[in-house]
Amino acid sequence: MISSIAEKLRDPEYRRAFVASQMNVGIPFQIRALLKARGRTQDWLAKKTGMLQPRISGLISPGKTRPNVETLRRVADAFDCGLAVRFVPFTELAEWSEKFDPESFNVPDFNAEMALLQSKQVIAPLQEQAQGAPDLVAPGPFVTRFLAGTHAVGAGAGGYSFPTGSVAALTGSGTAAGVLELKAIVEFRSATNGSEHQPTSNPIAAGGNQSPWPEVMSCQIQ
Amino acid sequence: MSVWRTPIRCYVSQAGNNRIADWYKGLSPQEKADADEFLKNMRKTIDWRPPDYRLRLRDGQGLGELRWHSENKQHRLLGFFMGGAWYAVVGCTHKQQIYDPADSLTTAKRYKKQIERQEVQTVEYDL
Repeated sequence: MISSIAEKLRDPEYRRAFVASQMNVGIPFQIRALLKARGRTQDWLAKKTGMLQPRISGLISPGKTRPNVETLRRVADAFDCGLAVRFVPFTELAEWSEKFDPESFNVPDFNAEMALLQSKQVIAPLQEQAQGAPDLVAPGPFVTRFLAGTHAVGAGAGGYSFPTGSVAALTGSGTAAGVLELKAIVEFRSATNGSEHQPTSNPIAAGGNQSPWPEVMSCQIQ
Repeated sequence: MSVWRTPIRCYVSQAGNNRIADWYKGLSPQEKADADEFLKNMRKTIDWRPPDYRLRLRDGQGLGELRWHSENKQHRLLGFFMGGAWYAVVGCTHKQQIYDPADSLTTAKRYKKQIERQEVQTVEYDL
């Protein structure tokens, strides 16, 4: 398919049309995928954007309207996500179009994004300890500073129940002390739950999806 | 590499002409690009439903239609599901309840029967 598109892009007229089709046809598929992923309706989007429902209907019908940047900004605002408008090589645009999946496309809203970053902050030290390897997924300096200064992330965002102070201490510890502290908590929780199970390997680090330490995700730091 | 969840196959006449390729060749560059983007996303979609797909056309004898806009025209691709694939038989436009070419539905019904009776070949959509 990529080779087919690459061949078509040699035609200047098709190149121009291809860019337009990404907006006129591709954007409606993105908006619909976001509505589906969030469990929202066209009416909801109309209210959030302040647009009339027929206009929203047009926005999600492939090729029916030509959305401008301001309209897309309002839609992004409604979904509480970012909007990237930038100039790129044709191959990059073609690759994005090729990889786009209307069945799984989703962009987290800001709160979900922060919860995701927070979960990485908690899991990364565990991965390090399990593998004895360098950090694989720890957030960069900006995210670390952001999380350390954000109270909401420790207050149950994303389903976690760590008190804010504990999370801030963990993220601010440079991980070494935090790892030991968290591991101790895990073992403590296992003991109080009456379970003798002690994980000996880390399926997360091995590429698995399920945490071997469910108690990590639900424990309360005393 | 994309995963085609709903493969599209094209009607090929007994003389060996891919009718969908013929339709595609007659489109403008913008119409081609829009058709490419639309059909690519539909092939990645499991459950075809309105507004992109109308499952049963009135008097269509089991035919449905893919629907999208391009260059201020309503484009249609008539076809039907059979054995996990969608068979495209006629490409056309639609305005005020009338297809262009006007005999699109009649032709589509004839092509559908030919495919069902295995009187003609089909090829995977690869335009």
